[in-house]
Amino acid sequence: MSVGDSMVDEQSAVDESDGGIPSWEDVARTYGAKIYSFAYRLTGNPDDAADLSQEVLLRVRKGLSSYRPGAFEGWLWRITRNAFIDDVRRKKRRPVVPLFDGTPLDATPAPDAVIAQERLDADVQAALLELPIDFREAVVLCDVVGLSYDEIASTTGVALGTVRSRIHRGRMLLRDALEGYER
Amino acid sequence: MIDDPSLLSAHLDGELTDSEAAVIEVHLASCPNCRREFDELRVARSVVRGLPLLNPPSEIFQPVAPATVSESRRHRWLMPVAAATVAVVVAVGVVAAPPTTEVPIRAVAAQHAAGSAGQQDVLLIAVPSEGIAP
Repeated sequence: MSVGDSMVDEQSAVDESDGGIPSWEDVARTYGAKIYSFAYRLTGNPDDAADLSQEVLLRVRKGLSSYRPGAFEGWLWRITRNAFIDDVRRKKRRPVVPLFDGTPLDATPAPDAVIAQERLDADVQAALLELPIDFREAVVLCDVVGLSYDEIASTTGVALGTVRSRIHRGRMLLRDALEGYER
Repeated sequence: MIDDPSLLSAHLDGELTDSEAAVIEVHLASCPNCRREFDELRVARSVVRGLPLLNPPSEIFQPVAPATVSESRRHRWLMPVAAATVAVVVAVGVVAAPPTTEVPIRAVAAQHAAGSAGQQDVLLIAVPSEGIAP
């Protein structure tokens, strides 16, 4: 268990207990929000995030027929990450800092505290988008998706030490960008 | 100071072995600079983890080719333009058309006699509703 608080949502994995291949519907239902959140945190743009999420689910649909049960999440996040990298290479442009921070899954009405939280979230999102892409990807995979360093290394194809360094340097840059916030 | 500062993030994430973690804890207890950096890293980590899970738009669950989606989104602005254009054309037509076109018309289908047997060409003719004069 990690030190400190953990806000990463626990995700119920698709059921592979019977040795079968999960259905596309199961994948979409179980991981749709997390894939979209991953895409949004990396791109900062709702349209780009929707396009990227749809591309991921399309690749999942195509790939499920050849998927061999055993390490579904690793397979899924490799697909997701590769779709993102392909998208970045295709567009070769910087993400746009959003004016509005998307629609939270659990939207609750609210006063000042919520407004302050939304402002913080928007600032965090803007700070994420300022990170070099390798750092941003590592931080999002760790702190938004909830992957371990081993899983991130496997997903991104880099050494474990590189993952650790990218996460650390990404967090240091976030710290500088968000100086003054306490949590 | 610690030789490899990334160990602090790894410690936050529970990615160190027990012995490594113990060494870091001992160091943090005696090094205010590293302690401060560790606390700041904890905040940076916490605010990202505090970002809400977002509700995806339903369109992502429709597995069509992404290019089609991008295309349709890119051309979405054409819809109101097209609608406005049709409205203008209709309005101009109503104003400029000769009076005979203002009366109700009905369409009649007449069998086109010409052509080979079995050929079912149908001709639609617009005529005034009172019919064709004998």
